[in-house]
Formats: sequence, C-alpha cells, structure tokens
Amino acid sequence: MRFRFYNVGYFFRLAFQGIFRNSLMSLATVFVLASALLVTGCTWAVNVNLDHNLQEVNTYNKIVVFVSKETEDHTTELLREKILNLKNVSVESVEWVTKDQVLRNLFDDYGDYGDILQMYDDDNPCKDELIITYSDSSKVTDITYQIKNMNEQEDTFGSVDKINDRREVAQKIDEIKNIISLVFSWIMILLLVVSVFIIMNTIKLAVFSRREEVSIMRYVGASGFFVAFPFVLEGIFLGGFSAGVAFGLQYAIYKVFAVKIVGDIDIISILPFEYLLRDFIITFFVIGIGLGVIGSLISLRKYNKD
Amino acid sequence: MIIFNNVTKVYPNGTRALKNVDLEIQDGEFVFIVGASGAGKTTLTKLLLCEEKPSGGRITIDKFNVSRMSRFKVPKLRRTIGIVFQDFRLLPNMTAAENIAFAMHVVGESKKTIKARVANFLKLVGLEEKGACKPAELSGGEQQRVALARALVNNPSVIIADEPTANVDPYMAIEIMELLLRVNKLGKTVIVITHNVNLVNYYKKRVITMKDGEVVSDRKGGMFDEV
Ligand SMILES: Nc1ncnc2c1ncn2[C@@H]1O[C@H](COP(=O)(O)OP(=O)(O)O)[C@@H](O)[C@H]1O
Ligand SMILES: [Mg+2]
Repeated sequence: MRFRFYNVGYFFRLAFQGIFRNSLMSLATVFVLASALLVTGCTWAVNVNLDHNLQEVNTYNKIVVFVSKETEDHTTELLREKILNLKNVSVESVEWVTKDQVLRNLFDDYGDYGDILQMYDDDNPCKDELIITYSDSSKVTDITYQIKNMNEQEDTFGSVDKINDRREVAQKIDEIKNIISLVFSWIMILLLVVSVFIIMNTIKLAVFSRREEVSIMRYVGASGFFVAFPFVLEGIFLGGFSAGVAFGLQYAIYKVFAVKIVGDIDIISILPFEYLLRDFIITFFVIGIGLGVIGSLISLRKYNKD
Repeated sequence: MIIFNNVTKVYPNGTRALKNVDLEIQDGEFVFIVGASGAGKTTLTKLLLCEEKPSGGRITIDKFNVSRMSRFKVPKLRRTIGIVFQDFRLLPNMTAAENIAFAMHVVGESKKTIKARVANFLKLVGLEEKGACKPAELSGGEQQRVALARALVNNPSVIIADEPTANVDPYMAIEIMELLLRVNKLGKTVIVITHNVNLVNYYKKRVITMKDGEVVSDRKGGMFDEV
C-alpha cells in the first residue's frame, strides 16, 4: 500500500472513534490496566527502597545520624566530636559524609544519572550524615540515647534530624520484602492477564461495531494492514493512556505515602521519586503499550484468517 | 481468463457444495450462472474471491493461482474483481459518493484521484444528482447502481454480480442489466448470477446452469434450462 499522509489522520480518527464508541469498555480497560501497572510500580518501588535500606545496613555495626538541614558546618563538626568522645559505648569512629557526597553515592550505586545530579545542584534533597562505627552492639541503645540528648543540648541543639539504627530492622525488612514481593507479584500477574483479556474484548467489540465497513474493505481488497491498524492503534492508545494514568497515580502515591509518611519514620530512608522516574516511565509505557498491541493482535487474529 | 479445473468444495459441516466443476471464462465474456437455491452458485464466487478455499482442484484467474494463495496476496486478487451483492451492502452512515470513495480510500488512492473518479462513476451509473444521498434515501435500484459504481471504481477486470436484481423492481432490473452490459462493452468480464428467467432468455448470452454442485449445462446464446 502506498503511504498517504491523510491516512494517518484517518487511522487516528478511527482509533479514537473506537475508544469513545464503546466508552464503558475503554474505561474498564484503562481502570484494570492502570491498576495492574500501579501494582507493578508499587511492588517495584517497595523493593528498590527496601534494597536501598538494606544496603546501608549491610554492616551491622553502624549507626547513621542524619544532620538537620539548617545546621551550620561547625555545629556538625562539634556534634561529630561529641559523639566520638562518648565514653564507654564502644564508638570507634565517626565519619562525616556531606549531603553532596550522599547524593553522589546514591546515584553512583544505581548507574548513570548524571543529568539528575545536576538537577539537584541547588536543591539537594539529601542530608549530611555522620556514620558511627561501634564495636559492641549491646551499646547501640545507649549511643542512640546519648545522641538524642545532644539534640537537646544548647551547642548542638536541633542538629539531629534522625538516627538510623538498623540492626534488627534488617532481618525484618528482609522478611517483609519477600512477603510483599510474593503477594504483589501474584496480584500483578493476575491483573496483567485480566488486562489482556479486557483489551481483547474491547477490540473485539470495536471490530464488531465496524463489521460492515471491515467486510467491505476486505471485498474491495484493502490490505490486512489497512484493516487492522486502526484497531491496533486503539489498543496502543488504551495502553498508553493507562500507562499515563498509572504514572500520575504512582507519582501521587509515592510523594504522599512514601516520601511524606513512610519517609518520616526514623529508621527508613526513602529514595527521591526522581530517582525512579525514568524507570517508571519506561516500564509503564512499555508494558501498557505492549499489552495493548498484544491484546488487539490476538482479537484480530481470527479476522485475519479469511 | 478464469479457469476452474476439477474443483470440489466440501464445507466443514460435510455439505458438498461443488462437485468436480470444470469451467473456463474468457476475458471480456458475459456469462449468466443460473440454478436453484443451494446449487452452489455463491460458493463459486466465494472460491473466486478466495473467501473459501477449494477442497480439491485448481482455480486460476489471470496470473493468480487462487486455490493456493497466501493471505497476503488475497487483497491484490480482490482488487481485480468487483463484486455486487443482492442486498447492496452499502454503508448506511455514508452518502452514495462516500460509499464509492471508501472503496478507493481503503486501497490507498489519493484524495485527488478519488474525487475525480467518484464523480465519473456516479455519472456512469446515472446518479450524478444523488451523490449526497444516504442509502436510506435511495430506491433499491439506485442503491444497486451505487454498489455497482463501488465495484467498478478500482478498475477491476472482472465483475461478479450475485443475484443483483433480486431486490429491485422489474424496470430497475432491466436498467441494472443494461448497465452490466455496458460495463461488459468496456472490456470487463461480467458474471451474473440470477434466478430471473426472463432476463436470461432476453439477453441470449452464455448460460451456465448448476444443479446440486455440478455444472449441468453450458451454452452460448443460451436459454434458461428448467432443470
Ligand atoms: N458456510 C457454509 N457452511 C456450510 N454449508 C454451506 C455454507 N455456505 C453454503 N453452504 C451450503 O452449500 C450449498 C451451496 O450453497 P450456495 O453456494 O450458497 O448456493 P446458491 O448460492 O446456489 O444458492 C448449500 O447446500 C448450502 O447450504
Ligand atoms: Mg447464493
């Protein structure tokens, strides 16, 4: 078939007509597919964050003190010295990692995010960290208690944002992670399968509402591509739109639930959304559009036979 | 040239719709195919259009070997055959002109070509005034003429009309036949399937008579055989 630019408009019009003609089915498709993607996204976000938290805990004899944002450098240094000078609690060293370094380490761990780093140059979401190494784990409560006291003392007042002691948390997180992964994976697979079926039915319905046209097209010798493409495009739009909806919801959930609520819990550090953004977008749109194409091709298969 | 060579068609449910049919239709011929309901006439056209595959034998149209054709080639075959049905099959939400244009659009013609040819073909079937009418606003005969224009517009070399006059009044039937004869004069092969004894006897063309899936007579300048 010769390529005609005005056909592109025709294909788009048919695809949108299909979506709006059976708007209830389209809505159901977007609802289920977006849910499937959202479950996928949440599972993955939880896992990545758990991994990230576990990584920081992999040596158990460390405590991380997050320094409050407004704290002056000399106060941080003072805090560091006070912790280092604590008696009878087995503190061996206190390393000061600046927030820039923290951010750099964070992204170094997860590949090449150079441009995102630049994005943060003026507004680094990380905090300075004091990493305490100790030798006797029975003293952890003691150390933590004393650092909390320092936060109330005049010379280092308000300098401690939170203290991250993750010894027993590590095992807990591991268990939780396995359960969450398992449950969410099943929900995810189920929803994705259901999505394909719904897309198949939506497209089947679209073909049905245009069956007279399709039959004439076949009789006059329209190519298989010309007949099928509007329907595949409809699947692509449904998948893409679902991906967009899922991404919006994922953004909201992550910002509100993960960053604001969970991020406030002392022992957990949540990755910034921007760090997951690119993978979210790619995953959602690849899966969404992929399922759209697969679903529509399956339901067209039968029509392509004759 | 259309050749049926020992063609048999058995439908999946076991019906033997065609039995060892041998047939040759030359380019530019005008042929009536007659026979009782269920004789296998429509099955014959379905095989020609590659809508159904023969169970045995060989069908060729010009350079196409229809009996073993890949489905990617089927559109090419169908562009060389124009088809007219007894129930017209016009798209109800399109005007007469749009129905004709649609057939050109979906095979990838340009807007310019479409515009020019649609006007010409409306004129050819005598409906230049009715291009903007929807099928519901047209009589049966007019609808059938639009259908004929649609079948012709992509310039096929063969026209098949499956009982084209079954749903139109006798006067219109004659007009449609006259149109088909004109199309035949333009050099196209025309195959008309019909029950209309009077028409067949009047035109004295080649008549192929079918019965129970077999060709029982094939006569030039023939008459309707009561079989
Ligand atoms: N799709 C089909 N499946 C099974 N049997 C069919 C099918 N189409 C037609 N037949 C049978 O094949 C025979 C020939 O049908 P057809 O070619 O439509 O006859 P005609 O057009 O001469 O009336 C009939 O007995 C009919 O019932
Ligand atoms: Mg028939």
